[in-house]
Amino acid sequence: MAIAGFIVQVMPDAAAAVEKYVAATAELTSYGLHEESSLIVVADSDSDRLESLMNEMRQLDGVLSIYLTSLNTEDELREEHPELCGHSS
Amino acid sequence: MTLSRRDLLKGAAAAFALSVIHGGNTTAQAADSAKQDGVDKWVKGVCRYCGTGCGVMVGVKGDKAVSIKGDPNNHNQGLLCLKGAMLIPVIYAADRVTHPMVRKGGKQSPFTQVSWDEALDFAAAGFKKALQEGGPEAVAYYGSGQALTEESYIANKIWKAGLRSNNVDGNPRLCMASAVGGYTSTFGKDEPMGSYNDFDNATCFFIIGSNTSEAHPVLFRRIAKRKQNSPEVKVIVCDPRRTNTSRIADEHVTFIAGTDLALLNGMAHIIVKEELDDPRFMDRHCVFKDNDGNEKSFDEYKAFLEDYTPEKVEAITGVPKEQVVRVARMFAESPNTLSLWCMGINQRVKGVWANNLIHNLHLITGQICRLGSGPLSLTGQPNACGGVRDGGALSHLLPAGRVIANEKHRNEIEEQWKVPLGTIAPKPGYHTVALFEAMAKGDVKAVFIHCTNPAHTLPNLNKHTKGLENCFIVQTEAFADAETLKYTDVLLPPAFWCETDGVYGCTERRYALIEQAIPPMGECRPVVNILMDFAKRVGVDEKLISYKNAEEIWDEWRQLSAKSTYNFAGITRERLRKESGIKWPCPDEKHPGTSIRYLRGEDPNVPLDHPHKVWFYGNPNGKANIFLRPHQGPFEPADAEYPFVLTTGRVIEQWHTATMTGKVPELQRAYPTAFVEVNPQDAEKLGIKNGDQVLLETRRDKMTLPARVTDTCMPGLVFAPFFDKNKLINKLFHDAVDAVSKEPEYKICATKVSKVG
Repeated sequence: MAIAGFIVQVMPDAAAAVEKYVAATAELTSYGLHEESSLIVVADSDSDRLESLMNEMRQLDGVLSIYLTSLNTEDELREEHPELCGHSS
Repeated sequence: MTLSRRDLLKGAAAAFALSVIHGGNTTAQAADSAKQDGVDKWVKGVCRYCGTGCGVMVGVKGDKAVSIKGDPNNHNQGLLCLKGAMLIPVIYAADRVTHPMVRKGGKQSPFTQVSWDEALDFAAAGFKKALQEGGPEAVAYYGSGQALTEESYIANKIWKAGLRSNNVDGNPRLCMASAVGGYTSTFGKDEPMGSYNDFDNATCFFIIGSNTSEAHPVLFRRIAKRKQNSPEVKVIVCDPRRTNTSRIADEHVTFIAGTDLALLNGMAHIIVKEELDDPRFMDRHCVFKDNDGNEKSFDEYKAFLEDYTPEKVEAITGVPKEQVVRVARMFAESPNTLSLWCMGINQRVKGVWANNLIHNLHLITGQICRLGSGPLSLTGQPNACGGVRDGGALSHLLPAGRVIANEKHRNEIEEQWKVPLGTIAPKPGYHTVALFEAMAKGDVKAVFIHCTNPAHTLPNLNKHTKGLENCFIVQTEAFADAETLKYTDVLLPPAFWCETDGVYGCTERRYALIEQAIPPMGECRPVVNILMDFAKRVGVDEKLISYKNAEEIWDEWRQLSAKSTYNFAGITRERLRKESGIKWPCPDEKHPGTSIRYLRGEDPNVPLDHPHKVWFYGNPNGKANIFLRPHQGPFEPADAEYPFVLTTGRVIEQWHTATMTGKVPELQRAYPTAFVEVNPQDAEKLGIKNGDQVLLETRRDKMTLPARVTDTCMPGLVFAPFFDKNKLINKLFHDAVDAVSKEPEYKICATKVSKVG
């Protein structure tokens, strides 16, 4: 599972609809709209799903772009490369 | 209430994103947050992908990289695009090359794992044989705008001073050479005068030949944010494709591919005719020149522009004359206009001229050398500017803006490299296309390829892979699926991103340090060590390359720069460890770096008592050149037999040849294979529907691709991305180059389009 923090840049008049979409999507959590056009969203999902979540959001009316600010894939690294991860959380 | 570890990580992710928006976090604070973020430490670096040069923080646990976030203290203010945020899995890709390999039985034989000694001896023997048979001109280095600065610097020194071969070129020739030619011919020195600070002060963005949204996403956000925060800000996007970038445009100028020179002269015509120009600025700071370098008067320039009335421009470009007038006025009347361009301008047979004409618009309006105004070419790779352009790692260049053809420049570098005068050969080496032709002919017999994939990226590939077949190839390559490895004799595993340290220099003259975060995988070694070891075995004088580490190489290069106007002697390794990048010139350790070159009070090369506020010191007369460059079309326009124009480029989730992004399932799924975009009007005429197989046939080759029917392309134009190794679209392109920059015209070739079956 990956945890990603990102900023969704929206046209201001579409912000409410995008925030509603985020609220209705299980893997996503909204941390509010900032400066009228920047929606803070955190995803907690398989990396597999992360890409489709972002693609779906990118297709929404009024979404200009999506920018990652952080991505933690430690758990997935452990699953895919156990030989590389000698540390427990 | 008990919070789980995942809840804490989610909270930390949200807090960091918030700090990015509100600017409330410093690099030091971000580094201190390691415990809260679930890592042992955060290590500062720079993204491995495009030329934006976003700062990153790599989270390390034990000796593994497990997490990434944007550096809030770098210009990207903590933001990353999806590619950059997905860099960690690339390090651990299953097909990382981790051991030296040699094809002992020739190119048809399989790779055999060998020791470093055996591999380097094998590589050196191949080069010694080539030197014996053909002399210094028979060996070459083909490098990369992704290589670390120290790697490009030392390779350049080994070849030009150690082996006396000027055959040092690389993939920046394929993307940025025309920008270099443009800056050099207009201002006398390469590299832009402005910086990303201009984005926050521009009132008009003039974007031409750049899909900023997909190729430089973090910069696109800065433009979009500026526009959203200040509705008076205007955006002009000139592009034959209606990309995501044009969604924020006030004016999207759709022109026939290859007619950009006429459009730019047409804008200049309106600006001069309507007296929107700045005669005082031109009089003080500019001279007019024709193609032969003869000085001309303003009146002659004005007469030259009479060929570019709006009516004539409409006839050539397809842009309505009213729109030509509107965008010219918008450009000139805006308090601060910033021009941005990329491969759509550079990858043209008249790429240098197109660059000159963009500079002209700024010079005739005085929209230059002030915060928010100026021409700023966007770079395609993370260190094409720093390592290759500044470092002079091309076949005609020497470090810090010097050229091989100039004896004084050669002597300056010989003195600083402590080699006898006359060591550096006076004749420039082969540029990229000529190099691969020479390899095919057998004139070049051994090539060291570093950090690039020419069997995928060269134009007219069927022609140029013959050079790779003919030649002894030593290659440092991190990933086993790189197309070029099919031709490689000796494969040397390099320490990858974050496994060694080095400097990257991005679009805005900013140098930033990538610190080593984790140990190299397997037997991988830092490339500077590989190059030094290889060179010694070939017979290069050890004194020339006796460095203990990359920091010593940087220190030599930094001190060498002090004797030029690039002067970044003040950018010490120690400063780079603390600061998230510094822009040169930066002559001493207390200097903050330079945001606007050529400007008194800002650029340390302009004396504080200079009589003029702006001084274009790159040219001996202190003035910039406004060129009378007539419109000329592409090398191979569409015609009756091949009626469509094929263009190529990037998509947001894949980068270059996808040897990195292709390792990340999230990115690979977004764009698993190449496709061809066809305009709905053309699709209807040809009976093509979404997903149909479409045959593209050019004079070089043919290829079948699935169709995407979309109005992104204007009628008559089709687009295919170049990342897919199973669809090497460059086989279809010709390899005609710009006469000055020698950059190929990837953006335009004529093609037939038909539905398969």
